[in-house]
Amino acid sequence: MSRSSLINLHAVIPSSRVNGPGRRMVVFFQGCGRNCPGCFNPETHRFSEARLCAPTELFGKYLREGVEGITISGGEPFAQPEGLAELLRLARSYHGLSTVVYTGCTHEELLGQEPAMQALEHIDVLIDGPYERDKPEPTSLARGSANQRFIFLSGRYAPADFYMPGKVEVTISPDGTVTETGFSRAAAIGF
Amino acid sequence: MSFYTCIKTELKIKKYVIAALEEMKKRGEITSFIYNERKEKVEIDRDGDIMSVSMVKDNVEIGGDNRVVHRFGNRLKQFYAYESIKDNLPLDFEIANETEAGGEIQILLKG
Repeated sequence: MSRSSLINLHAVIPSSRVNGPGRRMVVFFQGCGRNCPGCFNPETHRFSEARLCAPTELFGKYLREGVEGITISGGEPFAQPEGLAELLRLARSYHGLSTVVYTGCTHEELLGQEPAMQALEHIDVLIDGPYERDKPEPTSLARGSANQRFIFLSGRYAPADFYMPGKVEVTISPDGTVTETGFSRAAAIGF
Repeated sequence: MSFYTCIKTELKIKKYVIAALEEMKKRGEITSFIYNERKEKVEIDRDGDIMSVSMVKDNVEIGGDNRVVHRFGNRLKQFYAYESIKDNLPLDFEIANETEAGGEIQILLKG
């Protein structure tokens, strides 16, 4: 395992129903230089090492039974293209998972960049484009702003699969820890 | 990108501690509880195990048998978070679905 395949990780949600079709493991990469105004996750911007993790280790530690796919969010996943490609390859080839990736880049920007192309080979759906605060997504579609595009790179999913059963998902762990995810902030306001 | 945040629950606000205990009683997870307002203390009976929750300002302490107090404390934190979230939902959000599996409470919100 080369060091470039290690992932600088912000967080992992083992099972979520609002980050793409079905139940999905969600991996948040650490590091993004885009600084979109109003970004949901400013804590993921800095590139300093948060937690380095090998892709195999991630599946061993977090993959739960009944999970249909993996969603990669961030941070900017394509800022770590080797780790991203390896994670997606393992997800599909060894675990039979579908793959959804969010990026602030456009598909066109990624085409032709060799490390990014390797990752694109293993993606079922790419949701691309920067977050634009003045274009919030008004429906339950799984995207932050309405300018972002769903690019179906395989036949596995269709647009209707990206309407979520909720806008926000809150999980309260057995020790009382609260995790919130989704495409709006809601519950954290009360804490 | 989707939103992500993770918050450690701390027992601080009395009304949510009481609401959490009410919820636990409703679900049959504790037998009864008595709140002594003057002492700012709650005595809890769980099938004969007696525990207490002392609330002084924003400091909450749980007392009782070590074998049960840790587990009880964590469960109380879960319901405390649950009650706090429900009470503080923005007006344009509502609970679409609630489930509990593997010890986790999952709440889906529509907005």
